[in-house]
Amino acid sequence: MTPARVPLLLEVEGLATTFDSAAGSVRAVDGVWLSLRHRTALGIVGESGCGKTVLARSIMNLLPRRGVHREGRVRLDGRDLTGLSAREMTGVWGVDMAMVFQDPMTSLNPVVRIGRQITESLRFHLGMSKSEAEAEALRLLQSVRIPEPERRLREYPHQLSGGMRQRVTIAIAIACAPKLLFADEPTTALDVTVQAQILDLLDDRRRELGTAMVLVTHDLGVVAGRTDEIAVMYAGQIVEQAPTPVLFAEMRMPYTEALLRSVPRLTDPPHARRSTIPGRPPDLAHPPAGCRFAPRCAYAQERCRTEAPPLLPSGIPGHRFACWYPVGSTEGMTALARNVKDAWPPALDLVAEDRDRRRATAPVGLEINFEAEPTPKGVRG
Amino acid sequence: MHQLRRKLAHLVGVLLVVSFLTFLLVNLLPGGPERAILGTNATPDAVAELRADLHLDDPIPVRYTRWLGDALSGDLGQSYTQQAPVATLLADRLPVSLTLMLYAQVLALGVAIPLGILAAARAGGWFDRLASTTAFGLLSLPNFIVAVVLVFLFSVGGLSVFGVNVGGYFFPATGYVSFADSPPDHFRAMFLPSLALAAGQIAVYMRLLRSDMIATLQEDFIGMARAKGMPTRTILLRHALKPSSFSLLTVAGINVGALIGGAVIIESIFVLGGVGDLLVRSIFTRDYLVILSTVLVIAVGFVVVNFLVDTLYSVLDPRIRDQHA
Amino acid sequence: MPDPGAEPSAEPVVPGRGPGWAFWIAVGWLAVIVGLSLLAPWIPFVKDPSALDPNALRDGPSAAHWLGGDDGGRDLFSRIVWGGRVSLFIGVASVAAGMAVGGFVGVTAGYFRGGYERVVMSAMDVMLAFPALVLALALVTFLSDPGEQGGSLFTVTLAVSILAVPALARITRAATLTFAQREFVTAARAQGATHRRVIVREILPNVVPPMASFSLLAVAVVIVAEGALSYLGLSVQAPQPTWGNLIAQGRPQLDVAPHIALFPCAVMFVTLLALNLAGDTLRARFDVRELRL
Repeated sequence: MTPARVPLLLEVEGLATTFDSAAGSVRAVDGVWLSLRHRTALGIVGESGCGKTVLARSIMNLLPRRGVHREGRVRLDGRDLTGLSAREMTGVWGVDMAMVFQDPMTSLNPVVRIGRQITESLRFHLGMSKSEAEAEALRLLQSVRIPEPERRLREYPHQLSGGMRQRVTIAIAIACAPKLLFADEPTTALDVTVQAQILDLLDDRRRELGTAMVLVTHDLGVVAGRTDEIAVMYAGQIVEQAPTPVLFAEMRMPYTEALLRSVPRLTDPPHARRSTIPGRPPDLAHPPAGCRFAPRCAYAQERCRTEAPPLLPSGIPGHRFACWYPVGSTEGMTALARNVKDAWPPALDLVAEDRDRRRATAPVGLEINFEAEPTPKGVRG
Repeated sequence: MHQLRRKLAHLVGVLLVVSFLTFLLVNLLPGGPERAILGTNATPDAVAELRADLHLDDPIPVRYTRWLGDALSGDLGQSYTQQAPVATLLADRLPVSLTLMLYAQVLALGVAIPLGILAAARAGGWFDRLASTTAFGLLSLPNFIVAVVLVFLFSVGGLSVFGVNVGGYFFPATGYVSFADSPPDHFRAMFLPSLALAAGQIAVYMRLLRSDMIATLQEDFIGMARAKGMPTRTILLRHALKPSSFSLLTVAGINVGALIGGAVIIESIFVLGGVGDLLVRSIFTRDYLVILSTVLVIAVGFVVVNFLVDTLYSVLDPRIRDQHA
Repeated sequence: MPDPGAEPSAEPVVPGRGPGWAFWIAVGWLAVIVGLSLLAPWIPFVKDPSALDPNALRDGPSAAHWLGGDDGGRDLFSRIVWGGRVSLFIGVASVAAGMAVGGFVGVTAGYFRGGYERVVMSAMDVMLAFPALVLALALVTFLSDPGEQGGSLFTVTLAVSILAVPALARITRAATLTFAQREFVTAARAQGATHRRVIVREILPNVVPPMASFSLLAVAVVIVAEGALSYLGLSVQAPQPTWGNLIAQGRPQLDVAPHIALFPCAVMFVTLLALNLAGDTLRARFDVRELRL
């Protein structure tokens, strides 16, 4: 260990975001601490409605100002962005931080030509001339592997397929070579066949440019091979965070385990009991006391319902989690056994599903799992 | 192209029906068209002569075809009170009405578009509330009331409030000056009428653009433009205004009808001598041929404008343009 | 559960449009206007609108003449009240007639569809091809007896009613369409109910409330149309006062006696504002926004 501090790209300290709504104030992000080194990728994972998108937009300060209260601090490359006005943020957005949105069908302006949508930020931020910007836009479209880029520049978004459109939004996002790129469920709205292509393209491009990335998704499978670190979010809070290999090997939080179970595997028997996590995330206008996952947790005990577990280091470097009865621990085993005996439904579900899985002795390599992703189309996490 | 041809066919159909109805009206009049042409005090001899002259005993379709042919070649008949061809009367007055409507429309859009954008940009803010409330009030203000109040304030001295004079003698209360005669006087004469005619439209357009813009500003592509770091100006003018302006355009086209109706009364209040004025006068003198021709010209103009707006709409919106290609 | 991912709506509630104080003030004003109009002949402080008082010639407001006198010394307040009778009568009568005819056309077109709907709605579209005021002028002219100057109460009401039919028919048709395909209608048909029964028992109860809530706005539109006609001298004839002809009468005297035109203007404006405010509140309650003209 050298005493010199590794300079951090992004530091988020105690970020909390509250919306005024008819049902009372909704605390969609509740005290998040995060940091990210240059050129690394962080996955933020959670079900839809858990505050992932709001967290990403809060860090970028992209949320509307009316009716939204933001607390905490965001530093980018040492610069405090907390109090910046929208006007000051225009110097940060696009240049330092950029975002790829979820749905390419709606995130491109339908009445502005593709070329214009790429060149406008080049001209505004980098002061390029019209012809320079057009040449650069052409190069960008080539770099995201769009066929016939010259023609595409003159077309409108509706003339492109969904996958092509998402390539365009990636080109737009990386146009000014930002230091940090947010990708908010970038493939959820796309056809399954192009999802991997787009994710790989995104990863290639950002590595080449030396851009760090925050990849927001509901799918642990998406972040598995593409991120250095993963933060699991539930009900506006980070409940477990670890370097990617550590998380998969040493997950402690029952919610992380439940998320992992919801990823379809090739080894699953056909028609296996599909573990979409039973129940729904809590109403953030009135969050439950104690651990917010307790009402749906197979391990939950009395203590979980009254006392919120803090996010504490596990002992493995970089691994933190918030749970009183962690998965794999003695306390956790005992708690699960007790819950099974008491016929606590989430515990019964967990056990039943495990039995199904074990029963499938032979790997079913060629089976295609028809049970689709729990794709929350249009609903942002 | 196919779409355009279908629209053209529809346009021709509507025009035929409108002209036929107008033709029927004159023929179903109490006393028939001879009275429409000769007036109520014609002698029986004159009436008989005219009937023969005009082949009034032919069946209606034959007469309609003949009349349509005449109308198409510019012959709309003779005004019996003004002793002049109806076509000439209309041609003299059309420029006045057309300029009035053009100025009003330009003024209304010129005021409403910036106000609508500003109100939407800070929806719920003080400016938005003020503008929206004012617009709601304006909608309850008929244009003839606006005209009377404008004349009172800016043509006849206005009133004094606690010793401070509000208003003055800035604009003439009546009369038309053509642009060719004196451009400054022309604009002075047209300002109050155009403003009176535009007032209600300003409110309509502003409210429409405001609500469209608010909806557009919620769109993902606006978030995307913001995340690109585009300045507010660019976002409002390039990214939000264009997609929001299509329905404004449609309504501006439909509103030409209201504009025409408004022009009739505004011309008469400011004694401009336009088509509306001609129409009202002919109604008082029962000059049926002039009434019918005027109504026909107005209806045809209205239908054609709507057709043009509809076509323009599909040219401007790339999504619709491609559906039609 | 509110979706925390959804951005909160930026659309504010326009002040005074909820059924708050503005709505009740509007209703109060309408009640006063309607009350005065209905009872004008019997209310002691509403004078004879044609009585000449040489002492009040173009006078401003005074104790004897609350809103002053006109150029003939007639009491302006009383003339405005009597003028309101005409405006309100034509407004209510035309909307009622227009609703009856337009409503019938709209409901049957929306229910039976097919060729009938196409023919009927095309006819409505042709009527809408004429600018409203121009059509009104033409109708008043052709409905009146030759020799008669302007219109009578009957011809003006008839002309304005005809004018209102296409718009009301369109709205009713749209409302009918949204209900005609619902399950309860299909169910009623399946149980062998006659068309008449389905329309009367199933469709009308659903179509009438939004139409009724629309009627106040329609009355405002009609009052403006009548005002325009009577300003042009083509509605009910002077000396019988109407708001429109009162304004027209005061127009040439704006420089010497502005109150003659401005008081009727003000009363007409406030009445229209009240109708629009109340109408808008009701319409919002029945949510017929998508059925807009």
